[in-house]
Amino acid sequence: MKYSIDICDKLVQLVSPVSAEIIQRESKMPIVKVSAQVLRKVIQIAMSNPELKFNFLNNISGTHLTETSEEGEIKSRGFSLLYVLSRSDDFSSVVIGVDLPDLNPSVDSVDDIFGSANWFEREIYDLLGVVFNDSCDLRRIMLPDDWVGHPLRKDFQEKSSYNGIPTTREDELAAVRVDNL
Amino acid sequence: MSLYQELPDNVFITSIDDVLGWSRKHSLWWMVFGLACCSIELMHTGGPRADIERFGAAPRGTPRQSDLIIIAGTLTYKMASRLKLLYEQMAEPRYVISMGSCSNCGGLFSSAYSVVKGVDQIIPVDIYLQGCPPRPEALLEALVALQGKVQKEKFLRK
Amino acid sequence: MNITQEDIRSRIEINSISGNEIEVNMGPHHPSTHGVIRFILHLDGEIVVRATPDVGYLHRSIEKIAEKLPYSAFMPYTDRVDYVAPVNCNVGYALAVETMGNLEVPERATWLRMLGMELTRIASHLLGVGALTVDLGAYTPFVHALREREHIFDLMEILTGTRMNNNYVRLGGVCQNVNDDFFEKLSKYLDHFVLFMDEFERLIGLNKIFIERLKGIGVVKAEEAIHFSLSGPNLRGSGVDIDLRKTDNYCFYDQLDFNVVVGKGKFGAVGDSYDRYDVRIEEMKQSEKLLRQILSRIKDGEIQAKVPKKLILPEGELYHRTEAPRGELGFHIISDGKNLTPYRVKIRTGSFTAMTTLSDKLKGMMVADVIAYFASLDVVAPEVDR
Repeated sequence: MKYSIDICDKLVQLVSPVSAEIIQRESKMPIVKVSAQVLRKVIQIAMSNPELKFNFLNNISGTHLTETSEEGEIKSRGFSLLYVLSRSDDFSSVVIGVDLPDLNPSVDSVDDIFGSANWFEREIYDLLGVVFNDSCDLRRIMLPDDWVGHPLRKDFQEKSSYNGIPTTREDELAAVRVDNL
Repeated sequence: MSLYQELPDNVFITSIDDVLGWSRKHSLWWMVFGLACCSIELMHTGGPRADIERFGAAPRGTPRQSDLIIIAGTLTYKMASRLKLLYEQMAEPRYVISMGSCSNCGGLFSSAYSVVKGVDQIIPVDIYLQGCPPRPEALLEALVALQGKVQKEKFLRK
Repeated sequence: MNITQEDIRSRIEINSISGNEIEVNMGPHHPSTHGVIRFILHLDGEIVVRATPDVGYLHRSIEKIAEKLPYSAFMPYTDRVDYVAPVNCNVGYALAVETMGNLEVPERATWLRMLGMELTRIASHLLGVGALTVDLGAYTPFVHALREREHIFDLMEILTGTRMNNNYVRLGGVCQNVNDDFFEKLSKYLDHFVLFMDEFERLIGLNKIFIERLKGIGVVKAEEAIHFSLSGPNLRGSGVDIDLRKTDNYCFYDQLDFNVVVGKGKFGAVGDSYDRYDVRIEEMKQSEKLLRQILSRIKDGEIQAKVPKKLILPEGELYHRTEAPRGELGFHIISDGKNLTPYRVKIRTGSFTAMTTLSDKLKGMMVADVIAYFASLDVVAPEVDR
């Protein structure tokens, strides 16, 4: 894979005075972390600046960040999104990350810059509950429209039935199992 | 001299139930309801090597013209209402083969939040066929087992 | 009278053509082989005014299941992400975990992985092209493709143990070895495959009806392909020569010699549906070339390196991508450094981004062309929904 620390340094330099820091510097994939308010501006610069020209969107993924205490209690710390962009001539890539708060997480949408961003954002909204401001079309994509909850969150509890269909299956052999006899 | 020895060779005596069973079992038209990976093996069963049409079973696209529905693949909650609708559009007598682990009991995805844990929670099933995915020969054996069931049915008596 | 799709689109945008739209549902259950995908089409006569794809009918929550399983136990689920080319998805996941954990893979195992990948690439393109002909109404080429796939399934059964959903790759190698009998059978099959490809091209590729149905339909120019993040044969059909086997050097592809096939507008504009079909046909021939080179280079050796039984990856995240038959297959893995299970696995597939072109491209098309365009994109439902 073609990630290089030089491209990240150049991106940080070209977006200043907006502040961006690089984490995971020594690993195989350095990430340029920015704050949620300036994400759209950074992505616009990454796409349009002639020295960068990252005009291909590879991936947008979202994660629910949590801490688990010793008793097994899950405490939410927020969400994190990751944008992977590439150049269309040699396919070298850069990775931009953003952290979002726990309550009402929201960030500006980039679906007018990249045509495929809308579906990635719809999937993150559906499964995690992150809202994308000024999106052209934000609704559920993978789950039925009357589903309640966001399943990829770590504290998602499954209900006992959905529209009359039970969500568990009885074990047919339970009556004749040795420990039940 | 018994009656059988008096008759010429091209006449035989049987019961109406047997003849009806024999003719019905050799023309079970099935509806293509391939959802996931098992649908690829369903296509291969209709293909040149394990040919399902030599049993008289022709694939149809619509439930109105089919006797049998082969549910091949994982059923999700979003798709469940469509399956119920399609099953109710089939004319009786109708049969169901549940092909593969996912439609038997949820299979590999039985810990998923969006998968129906077994198609028999929605419609009644006649033959359960296990495998992930079952080989084309296994699907043919399921069809033969269903043919055995159809042969024994007393169709004219309710 | 030669009205193009562009004329119709400009008239739709100014004012609806006659004002009587009907809403037609190309429902999740339909006799096409691409899986359960639904379109809601608003039609004015035969012309599509607005199209909305609706997906999620095969959402099996593979990403949530990954958070409960150790890294090596997740391998069978990657088969089901794209069940037409399972070995490619296995290798994509294994390479992502091995890169993140600095695990070594022996040389023979890498050659065997590449063998499995190119053989499934041929099988996948055969199904893609066969499904395209079925959607256009010709059933015979599909059955020819199924016959070839049966031969390939026989070979995969010797190599991996099963016909489909092979689960062939393990972290650090592959699961079982083969002896020289298999290489002889494969070599004999490749001789037969060259003759089959010639016959197939003469049957369908130069058929006048086939060309008229596909030329000029759904033209995707190079800038649009990059804007919508198309990848794989769809991107190369529009004239952009990006192949992840050449740009990201993974496995031993840099030691082999093959061409990147690009659409040239053989019968219509560059980037129309015939170009995407042609790219798949030529890629099958390139895969056959690659297989012969792999057969000449593979040597004896071990097939599985020693990997710790309780594997814990160091803390951090990685996005790794490989070239699957349907486009770019990317695995984004996040590990928290403490558990045996990953914290998050996100799978990015080529069919998902191919679906994003639809609401723009289907405007102004006729209903039969909708089906031809959608079939030329070679989308499968489990890649879209996971």
